[in-house]
Parts: sequence; C-alpha cells; structure tokens
Amino acid sequence: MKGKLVISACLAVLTLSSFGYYVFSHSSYPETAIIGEWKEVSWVYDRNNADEKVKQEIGTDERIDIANHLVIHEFENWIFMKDYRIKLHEQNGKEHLAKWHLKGRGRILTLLNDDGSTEVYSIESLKDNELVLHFETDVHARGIVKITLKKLN
Amino acid sequence: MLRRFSNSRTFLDNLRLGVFTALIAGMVNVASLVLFYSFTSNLTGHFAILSQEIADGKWFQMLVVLFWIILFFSGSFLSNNLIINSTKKNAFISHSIPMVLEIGCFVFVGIYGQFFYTETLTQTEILVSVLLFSMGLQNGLTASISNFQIKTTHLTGLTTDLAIHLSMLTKKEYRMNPQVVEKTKLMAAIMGAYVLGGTFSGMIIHYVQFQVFYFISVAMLGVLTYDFVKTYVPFFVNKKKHDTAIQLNIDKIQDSIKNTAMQKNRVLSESK
Repeated sequence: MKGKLVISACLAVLTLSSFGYYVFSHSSYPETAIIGEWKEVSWVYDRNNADEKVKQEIGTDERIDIANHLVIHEFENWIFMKDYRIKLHEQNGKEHLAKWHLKGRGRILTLLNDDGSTEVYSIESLKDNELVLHFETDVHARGIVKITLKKLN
Repeated sequence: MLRRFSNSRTFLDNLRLGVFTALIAGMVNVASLVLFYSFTSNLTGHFAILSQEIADGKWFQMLVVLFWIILFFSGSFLSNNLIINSTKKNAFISHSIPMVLEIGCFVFVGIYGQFFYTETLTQTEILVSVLLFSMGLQNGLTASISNFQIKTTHLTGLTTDLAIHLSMLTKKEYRMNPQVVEKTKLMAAIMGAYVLGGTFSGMIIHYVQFQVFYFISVAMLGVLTYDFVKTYVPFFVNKKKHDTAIQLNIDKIQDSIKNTAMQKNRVLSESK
C-alpha cells in the first residue's frame, strides 16, 4: 500500500514537472512575436456601452494632451529588440530608448525609461502583423485608449 | 495555532490562524500583483482567463493558466493529504510541513527575485507558479485543520458568508447563538486581516521589492516556533517532572526492598 502511494506520488510529480517544462519552454511565445519594428496606424477611444459602441479617432493635439506623461505620444515607430530594449523613433531622426518587458501571461507591456519611470500598457491583441495596446486615461473621462500598430518587418 | 485539529479547535485557535494566514495571503497577493501583474491568492479570475484563452484559441497562454490552476490544486491536495495521514503523536509535525514548504517557496521567490530575476516572461510565470502553489498549500492547510471554517486566500465566498451571517444577526434568535456570532467575528477578522496585509504590502513593496517575501517567511517562522514551543516545552517540562517522580519512587522501592532483605538476613542469622 505504502509502495503504491510512493509510486503514485512520484508519477504525479513527474507528470506535473513534464507539463510545467513543456508549458514554460513555450511560454516566451509573446516575447518572440513582439520582436521587430512596428508602426502606429491608429489611436482611438475604445469604449463600449451596452447599447452603443463609441469609437473615436484621436487627433495629434489630443494625443499629446492625453499622453503627455508617456513617451509614446512623440513617436510613431517602435522597434522591440531581443535584448529587451525598445527604440521609439520618428522619421526625422528623433528617438528614445527604453527597456521593455512582458508580464501577466504576455498581456502587460511595461516600458522602463532611463529616469526610472515605468509605463504600463495592456496588450489587447498580439498577432503576427498587428499589435493592439490599451492604456487608461482620465482625460475627458473617455476611459481607454486603443493604439494599433502594424508590423513593418 | 496548528496543533489542534478539526472539532477540537477553539474559536481562539481559529481566530489566530485565520488572521495570521489572511495577513500572509493579502501581502502575497498584492506583492505578486505589483511585481508580476498577476493575482496569486485567488483562482476565480484565473478560471475566467482560462475560459477566455480557450475561446480566443491561445493555446500556450491557456496551458500556462491551466498549469497555475493545477499547481494551486496540488498545493491544497498535498496539505490535506499530509494532515489526514498524520497521527495524534505527530500532528504538529504534519501540520507544520505545509507551512515549512510555503516558507521554502517564499524564500525561493525572494532570493530568485532579488538576485536572478531579469523580468523575462518565463521567469515571471515560473515565480507566479511557485506563489500559487504556496497559496494552495496555505488554503489547504487552514481549511483542513479548521474543519473548513477558515479559507483565507480568496474573499468571494467569505464576503458572501459574512453578508449572510450579518443578515442572520438582525434576528434576536441568531444573536443569541454563540456559533453564529463567533463565525461572524471570525470572518470579519479574516477580511480585515487580508486588507491590512495587502495594504501593508502595497506600502512597502516599492521600497523592499522581493525582500517582502523574507518578511513573510520570518513571520511564518515565528509562528511555527511559537507553536513548537507551546507544543513541546510543556511536554519536556512535564516529562522531566514525571521522570524525577518515577526515579524517586524507584529509589524508595529499592530502599525498602534492601531494608526488608537486610531485616530478613538479620532474623535468619539470629535464628541460626
């Protein structure tokens, strides 16, 4: 009886470890998928009411207004590098370097700036050629802003 | 706190255990939320996420969440298994093994987080797994030894039960029932302790980061030591007294045997 119990316990530990190994050897998939250069294609308010769906484009001025505390409002191109650095840049040469990390099962993107400040974005969707980010703003009480980026390479 | 089992536990035993473990659960949950952006003391959200990942067809993310749920389950399973297989003699040891394992998990997360964590997704998910396993251990331990009176890692059921008990207390017949009153006090104390632990953790986490897990481990070790002293010191003190009394009695008996034998010898020699 005791022998059976020990064998069952060993089998359970072995199965759990194998499952864990399999899961974690593939869990970096979102980190692999995000590597590359992305270009912003839209900024919209994303608010869903029960009986209406309001989606409103955000203009350049308003973009500065709602995201002036974030580095991203100044840049349209994002390059995620393998060494967890991100380069945000404009065509005119202006650029900003930070560190990026994914957390919460790859649903949270954090940008760590050189001054120690951290910016947190929620990854709504990450596909091969499309990245959709959300961040919350209280400006005009509009709620959540949705940024869509397309992969360039 | 850990020695007594099931119905032999008093209200105070349960109150102490509930408050202490709720403090730990609150601290761990807020720490993991700040450090990993994931909850680790409750599973309801993870079940919802699991369903969402299945619906979205994100199989690897689904497997990660499934693994987390299985680890919490395994922790509770292991705790209860150790407890139901314990005997009266080794009850304290069996009850403290889940807590020792839990401390091991916290120390691992603390050391790994402080010295080796580079914030990769895999590392984050592994550390979250360890914390979920530890919370499973704790929930299994508290629920098992308190006869399912205490569950401290999630508050959904507790809030519902507290609301029900408070509504019961609006009637005089229930206010006169000490069991209902004690259960209400216990649940309110657990809820308060969870919030207190979470708030404290939230206040210090930005300064101490992963070292918060050392504080938790030290506190748990303190409770284990206190319980150990309460369990074994009276035993050893009584054993010493008991042994001395027995030795005295043995000495007395030996003396009387000696005296009797000497008297017999004297009588025999005189009669010869």
